[in-house]
Amino acid sequence: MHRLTSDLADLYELALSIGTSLKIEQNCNTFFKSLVKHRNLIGCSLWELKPNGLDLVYAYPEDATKSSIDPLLIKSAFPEFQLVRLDIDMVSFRSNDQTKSKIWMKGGDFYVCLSESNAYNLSEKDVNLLEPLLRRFILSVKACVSHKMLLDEVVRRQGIEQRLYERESMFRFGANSMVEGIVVTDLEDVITYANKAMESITGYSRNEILGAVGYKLFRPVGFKDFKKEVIDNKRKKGIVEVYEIQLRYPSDETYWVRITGSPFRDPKGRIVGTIATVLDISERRQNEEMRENLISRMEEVNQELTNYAYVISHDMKAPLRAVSSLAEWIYQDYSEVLDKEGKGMLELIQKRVRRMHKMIDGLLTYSRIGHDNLEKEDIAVQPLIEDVIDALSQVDEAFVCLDVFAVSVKYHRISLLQIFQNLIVNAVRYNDKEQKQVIVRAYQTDTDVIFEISDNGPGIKAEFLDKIFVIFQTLQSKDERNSTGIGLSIVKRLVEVHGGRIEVDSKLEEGSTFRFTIPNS
Amino acid sequence: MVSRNIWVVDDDDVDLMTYQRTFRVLDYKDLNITYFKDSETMLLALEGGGQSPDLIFLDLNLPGLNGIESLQRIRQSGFYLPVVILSTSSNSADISVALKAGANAYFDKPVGFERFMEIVRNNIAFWFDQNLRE
Repeated sequence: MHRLTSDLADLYELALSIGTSLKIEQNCNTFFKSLVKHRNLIGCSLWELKPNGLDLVYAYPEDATKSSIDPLLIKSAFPEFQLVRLDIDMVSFRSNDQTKSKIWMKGGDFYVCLSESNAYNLSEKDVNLLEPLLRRFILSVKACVSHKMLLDEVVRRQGIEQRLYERESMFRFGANSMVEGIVVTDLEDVITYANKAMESITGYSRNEILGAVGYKLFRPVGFKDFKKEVIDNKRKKGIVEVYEIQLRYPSDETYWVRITGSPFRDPKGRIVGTIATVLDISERRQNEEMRENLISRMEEVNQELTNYAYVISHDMKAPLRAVSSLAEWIYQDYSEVLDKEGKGMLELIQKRVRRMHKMIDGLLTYSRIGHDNLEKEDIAVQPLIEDVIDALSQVDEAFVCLDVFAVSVKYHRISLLQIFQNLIVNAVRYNDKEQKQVIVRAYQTDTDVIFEISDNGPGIKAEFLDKIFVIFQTLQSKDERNSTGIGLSIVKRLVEVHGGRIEVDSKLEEGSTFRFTIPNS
Repeated sequence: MVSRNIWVVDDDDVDLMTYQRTFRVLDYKDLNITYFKDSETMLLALEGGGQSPDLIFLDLNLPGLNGIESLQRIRQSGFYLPVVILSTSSNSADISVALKAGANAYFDKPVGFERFMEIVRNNIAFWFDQNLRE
């Protein structure tokens, strides 16, 4: 009776001890200590089944480890033991001399082994009493193990989470302070992430954006079937490009964005969506459009002006010709009736008509510069200038010195001829010296060829230097020089249309130097 | 010497005067000159049979049917006589269109009567001597 009461009390105590700690060793120690003490066992041990055999988890006392062997092989290992009982999860052995016994209890991957001395053989009844207790113990061990695993996992994950949190904070901070929008979508274009900039770019709040289907919310302009064209044909295949598209604000107004995307992959490398930056380029596009419109408008106006100048000068020539003919015929037919003054007037009409004609031709030339196709060729400068000089009767009376030996340029031949012709003729025509002198020099720099045409003429007053390239501007009476005031304007355009510059230095009484450049390219 | 017919199509009074004066000064004995102020009248005369011209001086800028169009009509109707364009336009586009339409020569109307006369004289010498030789 006492034994039974004591048993029950002990068992109760044992039951309490089990599972109070999450540490397996501590549980084993408490449990095994009680068992050994109260049941007069030699020792207790806990084993775990591992792929390579049984592994000792805990033994009490520490030397009670002799039975470190698979219970099913114990017979051959300990030939002095014989099998007493064999259940599915309980095996007991007894030594041949009946002095020792071992009881193995199995629960999952764990075994508890009880070793008995010969003094107190465990009775059948004892074993039956112990059985649920051992089971309970194994369960608690398993709980401990899984709890430990869980704990380890928690710790591990906490570490990962901490790192993730740090990274995400960094990402969020970066993402939300960016001017560019960042948007993450899945394969159906459902938006799973959008940064703050997306709000100001698209005009939608993040609540509206998140979870929405991108192309349905932002409504790209100019696609027949955005889903098919972009999402199915490109994104799902991992083709994510940089493209500029027009989207719509909630108000339906459109704006331009540049989207730079890349495939978004899961840890296994499968494409699960797209991550993209979105840059609002409306302003740039507007500027571009404005510029393009301006350019095309300017081109139109330019073309109109060219046509206009052409038509005008063309139409102006016809009446001019008539005036000229009529004046001539009056002169011829009424020669006897006209006195000297009358004839002089008719001659003046002819002169003015000729000047007008020249001006019209000049205007026509001027308006055509830059519109005709000016094909460039390699030109040796010296022979070209010699040709110019040979063709000019005025030059006979002057001394022209060439210092352009071996210089060659890539230029439109007729343009270059016209430039030299005008500048050399001017240098001679307006020269008031007895010994008229013209020097043509050429310098090669890294970027340009520079030409200088210097004369020893009267020079140009400083206040007129700005005016000499202005169309129809002459510094002397047109009658005196029979000039139209268009020559230098044509030269300036011919130089500038090829990317060069022209300027003039002048000193009164000493002469002028016209300097123009031809870019190397 | 065989008598030749020259037709002149020009709507400008002074230009017509210039032609008249030219022929008066050059004083060809065997030339019949007919003047037209528009191409429709000229084409009517041409397609209506009767005396056909041996040379036409044609202006481009004409009221109604312009010079190019009337030149095309002349060629389409199967007339292969020499047609000389004398026009105020020195536009290269006009020139190439005219030559493509079947013009035999193209001249820019010059300023100055002497030069005008020279053009007419040269053309008559060229086309009619040429014809005589053939």
